[in-house]
Amino acid sequence: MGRRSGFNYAVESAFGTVNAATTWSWAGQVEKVSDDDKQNVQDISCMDGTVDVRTAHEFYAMTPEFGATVEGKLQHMRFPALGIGADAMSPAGTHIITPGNTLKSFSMQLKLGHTTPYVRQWTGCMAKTVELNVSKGDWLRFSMGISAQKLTRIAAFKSYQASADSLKKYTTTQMRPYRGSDMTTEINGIDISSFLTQLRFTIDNDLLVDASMDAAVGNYTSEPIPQVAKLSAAVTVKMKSYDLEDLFLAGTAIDDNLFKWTRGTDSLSIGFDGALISKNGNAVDIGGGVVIQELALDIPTCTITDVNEIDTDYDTVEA
Amino acid sequence: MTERRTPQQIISDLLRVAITDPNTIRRALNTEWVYPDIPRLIELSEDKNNFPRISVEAIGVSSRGDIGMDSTETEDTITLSVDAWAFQDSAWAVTVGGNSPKTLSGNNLCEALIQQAHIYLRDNWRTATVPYFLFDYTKTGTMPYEDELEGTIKRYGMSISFVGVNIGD
Repeated sequence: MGRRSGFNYAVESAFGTVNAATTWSWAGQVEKVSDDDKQNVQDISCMDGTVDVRTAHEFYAMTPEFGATVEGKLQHMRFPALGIGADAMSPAGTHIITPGNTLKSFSMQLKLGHTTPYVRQWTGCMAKTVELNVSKGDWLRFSMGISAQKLTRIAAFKSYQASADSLKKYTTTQMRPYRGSDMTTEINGIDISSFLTQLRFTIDNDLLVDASMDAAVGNYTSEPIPQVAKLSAAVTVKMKSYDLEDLFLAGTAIDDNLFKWTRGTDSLSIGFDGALISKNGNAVDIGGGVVIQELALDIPTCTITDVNEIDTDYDTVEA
Repeated sequence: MTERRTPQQIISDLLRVAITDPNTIRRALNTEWVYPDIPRLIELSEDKNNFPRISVEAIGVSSRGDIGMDSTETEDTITLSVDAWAFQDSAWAVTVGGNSPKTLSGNNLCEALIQQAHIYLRDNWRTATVPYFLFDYTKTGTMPYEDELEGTIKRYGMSISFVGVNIGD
C-alpha cells in the first residue's frame, strides 16, 4: 500500500481544531511517514483491602502521546516553516523565515491507498524538530518530528489544493526538489562547496508536551510549549586545509556562514552568524586517501530565505 | 509545444559546442560531427572527412522508484555510451587538459576525444545538464573496442550515467 499512500496537511486556526477547508496542502515529495504513537499506561495502585487484586492493569488510566516523523524531498519551505517561524515575505516570492517564539499548529493526514483508503488524521500537531539534510549526489530532504494531540481514523482523504500557489500540489517538473549539486557552502566566508559531502541542519524546538489537566481535553496532551530552540548543523567535508580546524581551535564565534541551494532563478539559503564549532572530528586511516572532517556547529539563530514563484505568504491559512 | 529532447540528444548538442572538431577541413565547413546514434560505418567510411566523430548512445534506463507519495513521477538513472571513432591513418591535432596540441591518429585520437568529453562533462554538468533534469554525472567506465572495417577504423568509448526524473518522457 506504500505506493498508493498520500500525505497532506492544513494549518489550524485554533490548536486541536481541524481546519474545515475541503482541500488541504501539498507538503512536498513526501517519501516516508513514521508513526510514533503511544498510550502511556498509568497504573492505579490500590491499598483498599476490599479490592483483592495485586495484578497490574486492573485499574488504569491512559495518557496518549501521538506523533510522527515526516520526511520528503524539499520543493519549498511552507511545510517545514511551520516548525521554524512566520514568513515575512518581501517582496512577493521571497519568503524570509526566522525562528519565532510561537509555532503554528496544524492537522495532517496520511492515506494508505486501497479500494477503500485507510486514512489517519492527526490534529493538534506541532513540530518538535525540523531538519534539512543533503548528501552529495542526492536530494535535499526535510524531516519533521511532529507531536500531535489526537489521532483518529477517518473515512476520506482531503484532496490537494489545486490553485493557491503556496498550497497546491507541484509535480517535480513544475517545481523540482533541490539537490546536493545545487549547493554552495561558506563557513566564515570560506567557500567549502567543492569539499562538502554531507550536511544536516537541525532546529530542535524542545517542545514541552504534557498530559492536560483540562477537562475539555481529558487525558490528551495540552498545547505544547516551545522552549529554547536549539539550532545546529553537522557538516562533513573532505579536508582540504587547516582553515576549519583553526576555527575550531580558536573557539570564537564565526560569522558569514551560508548554506545555499540554487535552482534556476529560485534559491533557498540559510544564513547565520555567531556560530561555534563545538566538535571537530576526523579519522586518519592509512588505508584511506582523503581525510574526512566532521564538524558540529552550534548556531544561535538563522535567516532562511526561500525564493520561488510562490507569491503568497506561507502564513496564509487554508480556507 | 517544444519537443522534448532525449538525453543522448542533449549530451550530443553540448559536446558539439564544447569540443573543437579536430578535423580542420570539416570544421571550416561547420559540419556536424557529434551524433546521438551509432555511425553507419560502411557508408560514412567512403569519405575520411566524416571522421573522427563522436556518438552518444543510450544503453539503459532504470527506475529507482517513485519520487514521492501521490506522485506518478519516477527517479531514474540513464547510462549512455559516448564513443569516438577515427580512421587509423588520419591524424589530427587535439588538445587535452591544457597541454600543447598533439597530432594523433587511431586509438590515441579516440582516447583524447573521449578524455575531452569527460573533462567537459565532469566540470560543467552542474550548469549544463541540470536545466534538462539530468543530475550527478558519473563516468562509470572506459571501453576499448575491436577494430572496425578490418582495422581501418578505431573506436574507444566511455560509459557515463546521469540521475533524472521521468527520463525518456
